[in-house]
Amino acid sequence: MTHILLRHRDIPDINTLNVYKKNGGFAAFKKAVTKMKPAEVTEVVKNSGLRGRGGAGFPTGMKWAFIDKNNWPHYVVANADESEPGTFKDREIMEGNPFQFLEGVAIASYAIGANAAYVYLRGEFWELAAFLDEKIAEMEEAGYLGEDLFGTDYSLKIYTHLGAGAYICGEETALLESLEGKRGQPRVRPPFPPSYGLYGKPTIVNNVETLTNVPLILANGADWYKSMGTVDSAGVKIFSLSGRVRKPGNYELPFGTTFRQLIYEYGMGIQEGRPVKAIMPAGASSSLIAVDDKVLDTPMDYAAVRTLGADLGSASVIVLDDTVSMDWVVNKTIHFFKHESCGKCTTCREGNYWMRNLTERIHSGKGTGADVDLLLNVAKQMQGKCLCALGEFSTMAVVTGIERFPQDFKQAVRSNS
Amino acid sequence: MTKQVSLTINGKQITVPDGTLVVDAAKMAGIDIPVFCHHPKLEPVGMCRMCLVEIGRPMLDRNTGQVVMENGQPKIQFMPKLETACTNRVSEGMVVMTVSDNAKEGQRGTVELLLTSHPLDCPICDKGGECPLQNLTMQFGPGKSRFLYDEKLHLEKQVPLGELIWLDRERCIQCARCIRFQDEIAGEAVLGFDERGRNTQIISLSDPGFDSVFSGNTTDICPVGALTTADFRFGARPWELKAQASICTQCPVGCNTTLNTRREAKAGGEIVVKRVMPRQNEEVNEIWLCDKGRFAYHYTENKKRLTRPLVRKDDKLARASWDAAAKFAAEKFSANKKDFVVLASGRLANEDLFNLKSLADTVGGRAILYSDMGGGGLTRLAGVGAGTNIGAMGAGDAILVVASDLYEEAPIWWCARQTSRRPRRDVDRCQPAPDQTGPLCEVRHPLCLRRRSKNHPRL
Repeated sequence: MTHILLRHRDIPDINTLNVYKKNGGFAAFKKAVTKMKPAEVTEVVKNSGLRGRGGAGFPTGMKWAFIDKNNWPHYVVANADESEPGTFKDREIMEGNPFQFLEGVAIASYAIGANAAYVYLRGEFWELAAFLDEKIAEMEEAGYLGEDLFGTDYSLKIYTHLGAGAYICGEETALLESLEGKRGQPRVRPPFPPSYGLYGKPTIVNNVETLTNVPLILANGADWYKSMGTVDSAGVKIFSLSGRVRKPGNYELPFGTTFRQLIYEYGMGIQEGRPVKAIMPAGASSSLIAVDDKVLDTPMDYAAVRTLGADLGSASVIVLDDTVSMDWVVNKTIHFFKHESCGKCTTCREGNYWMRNLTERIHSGKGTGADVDLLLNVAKQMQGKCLCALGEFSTMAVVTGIERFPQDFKQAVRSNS
Repeated sequence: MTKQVSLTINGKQITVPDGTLVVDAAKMAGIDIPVFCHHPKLEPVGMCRMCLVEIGRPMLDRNTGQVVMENGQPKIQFMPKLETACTNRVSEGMVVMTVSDNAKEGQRGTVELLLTSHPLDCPICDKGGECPLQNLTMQFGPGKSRFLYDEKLHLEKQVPLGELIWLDRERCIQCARCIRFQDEIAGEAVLGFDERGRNTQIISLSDPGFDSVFSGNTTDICPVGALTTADFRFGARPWELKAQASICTQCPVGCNTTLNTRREAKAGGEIVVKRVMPRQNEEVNEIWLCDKGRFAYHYTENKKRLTRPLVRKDDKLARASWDAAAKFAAEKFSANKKDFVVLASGRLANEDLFNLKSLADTVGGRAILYSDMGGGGLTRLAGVGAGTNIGAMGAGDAILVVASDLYEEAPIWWCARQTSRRPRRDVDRCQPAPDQTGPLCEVRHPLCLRRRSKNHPRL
């Protein structure tokens, strides 16, 4: 199939301005600015059924409509902090198809009446930031950014901003704090960014992939977009496949593609032909799904994955085979979260430190059955009490790992029980 | 008047002003919700997760926007998760449960998590006996720890943040009260967090360390024994101290204070002041005290200080008992009613001056209150004086500072002006010399300029 987001795989050199223009580039932005009212743009996005690709899956058009129109100025912030372990889609979009992403930022800015937009990139993307700066300069020169665009009085500037490499800055309010030059720690929500965002002004924070969808939705219409994917989740999604598969990578597929298709058709199956034991559909933040035939034939969309007791999240599908013990997986994720916890709320700061000690004890073979019970209890005690989603998600793999793979943990503590 | 909102907390119906935080509303109803990071004088942050409660709100019909009724009562929709009482504001018909099993479990969990990193060194801790963490642990915490003692994180226990304040990193619970106080109240953002996660720690960002004249207040609001003053640490246990209400006479503000005293062997069995603490008076100093007021009490220990009455006899001063001295003074007063003049220093508290003046009036004498401090005559006419409510300053008020560097001469007023900056107040200044008030105001009052031109440097 032809790609919608990863178009550089079909069209060589689409990351140059001329090739992008020749392939319909900026027509959607021009159409929006010259022929449509901002509310009409939002309406098209709303009708397309586009949902946020950063993980939460919140309807994008609805978010845009929430913007507080009694408080100005407005800002658009593209979340390019991409730090979830196992997620590597935004980087490919920005490297391969940067203009479509930037056009998406521009259209979103017009739709909410923002004259400034920021692309917040994780600190490790410094080369990419310089690359995007070049592309933004080219757009300014060609008259797609700047003052009085397309002969109207609409003006827009896009700026890139580099974080300092903290995972928490992918959380939208921590991102805004970091963008303001403060310590990257989440704010209490509500108020949500559409009413109180960057510098206290109404702000729309969207993921890179979400925004990259927008130009083609505007060009081809909401119905075209809705014709792909499922009723619950319209359109296409980039699945970042990793783990024990033969051919890991990014696969742009319509929602509703099954796990089996992704793993066996696109990922060429498991190394050494081993069976799939577990799937983490949303990176390290994910619940562990115990895999059987029913799971493999489940279509991947937001609603269907939820029936498996997990969330699709950012669709960074990590595949684990029968050589992997879940106590090792939990040990890995908790080390990650303990390292990345921002320290603002007690629950996450102390909870992850405690869980790290417990998984370390269990994984090193020094633990007992009581330690496993305690680990489960601590994780459950943390749930629903954290300030932001980082803390909540840190418990997912622990709870589902112990509950769905009790054998692995029994095995880990067998010498002491 | 602010809109009033009715809500139910633990079955108790109360009406409070709209915009009140749930934790404050509960306090008005006599219900204590445990907190660490929340402080009524600071902006809410919701960090410590101690005040978790169940909050329900009347369910609204999505189509009509009307409250859904059930058995003649509004149907209450509870959030699936516990919420922080310190960040949620009251709304009409809200139902709050602070002692339900669910809420209690949340509060117990938070105490347990806080204690996993706490050194539990209460027996040698200066805060022991007046420590919120100790109290809330007794009230809400588990009796036994499930955290292995050997796995505790050990950190530096004696870190001087500056010359006056010491930090114990093990005891700190990262509630950021000190950081927020310096930022929001003192307006000297010299403290901050370093690192992240469990490695998060308080550091001083200034050089010299903790460069603020309000630093002592952080030890008052620290809910654990992490911040202690160099002056008082290891000095005494709180329960050995007697509290004596007093007034600070270091500057014209007249902050209300509490003197903590005890008898000490090294003072020859005499009563000595161990520390000076601010005493709440919302009209004067709220709950704050500057470092001068807090630490400059040591002059009371000077051996040459007059601590007993002396009576002049035959041109010689001789020791007398308080009773004898008072009797002597009373006799002299009554004998020379007409010529009786009392001369008093402005260093005395207003209350003392008032008493002295009353005494002079009663016997028909005259009181001359020599007061060069705080502006003198002009101040008496139009300035801050008896009955002034500094705490009531708010948005829209204009503040005229006449020939005073508030930061140096009346730090707590500087502080009050600082906190009233949001929403911003206009500050006029009649100030011949550059001072700390500078950044907030540009206006030079014409009155001041005229006076200056007549070689009148001070009003």
